[in-house]
Amino acid sequence: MKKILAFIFLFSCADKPVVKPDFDFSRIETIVIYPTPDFRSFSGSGSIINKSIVYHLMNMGINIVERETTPALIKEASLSQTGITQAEIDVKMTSSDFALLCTLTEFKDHQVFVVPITIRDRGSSVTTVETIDEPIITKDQSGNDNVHYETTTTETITTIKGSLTERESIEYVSSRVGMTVQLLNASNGDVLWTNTYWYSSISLTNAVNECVYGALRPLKKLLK
Amino acid sequence: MKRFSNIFVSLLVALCLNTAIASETKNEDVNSLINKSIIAIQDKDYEKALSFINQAKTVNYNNNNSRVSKTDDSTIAEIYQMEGQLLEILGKKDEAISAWYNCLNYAKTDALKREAEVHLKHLRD
Repeated sequence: MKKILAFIFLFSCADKPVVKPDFDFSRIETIVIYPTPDFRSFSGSGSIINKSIVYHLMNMGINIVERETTPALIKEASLSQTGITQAEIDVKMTSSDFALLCTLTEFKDHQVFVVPITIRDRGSSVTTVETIDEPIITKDQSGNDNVHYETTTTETITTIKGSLTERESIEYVSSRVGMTVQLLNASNGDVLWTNTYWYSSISLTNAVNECVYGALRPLKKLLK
Repeated sequence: MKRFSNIFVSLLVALCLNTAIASETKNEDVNSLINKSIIAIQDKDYEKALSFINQAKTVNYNNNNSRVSKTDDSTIAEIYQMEGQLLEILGKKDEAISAWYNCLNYAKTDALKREAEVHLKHLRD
């Protein structure tokens, strides 16, 4: 039952990509990829993501053109849908009308911390009660043995002193990669499709690969 | 009869003390095994790391395969989280799904629940 509830919850709150309605994605054959800016001070992170995007899009059967610089039109389109002038629309987009832009929202390699832990033992005291029944034998007037028991109770209190123990615990934080990806119609700046995704793994390489795969997977269904 | 009952009480007290000490030892073992697993992950020896995690899982179960205590649910969730990630990197998808379901069931924090959900959705799609 718990598993069924978890399953229902899982699919009711999942993030979904946003798609421009009534756009025919099947006509997209070539996509231009522009450089992804590095995440904060993680030098080379943008380049790592871009190479992975190229790999996954090519796996989907899409032609890829990589560009070294991002045109002004694309920069503006990714920031805002408004204020695009005709002159900007007239900017020639080489190879394709469709461009893919990515922004890293998270890029973190795994971390290991050694945490000192102090365990305080407050001590304890144990009370042991031992009861012994001693048989007392007496003889009656006719010489028969009469047995009755006399109970002796002994109480022992044992106190165990408290102590402080120090040890180290190793804490592990996984690698984590997050990204937002947009497919734009470069001729007019329209955002056709956008998705956000993150993934964690014990390896940064795997986190990058799975994050990009997960982010682009819904696009694959549209491009078919 | 009285003597028998006295011996029984003494044995019961001794058993309780022994169980308390054993429980502490088990928690120590779990931490030690998790630490060993993390060191193996650092060395990229994922199979070895997984074997330590599997040992850590068995420490928390008795012979009837039922939980020893409910107080260490957060540790259990973290063990399943590590197991899920290790199984994923080793390409064992179905076992990883099972580990993440267990992680979701025992997770105490929203962040860990969310992580388990993301992994489950990713692996099932």
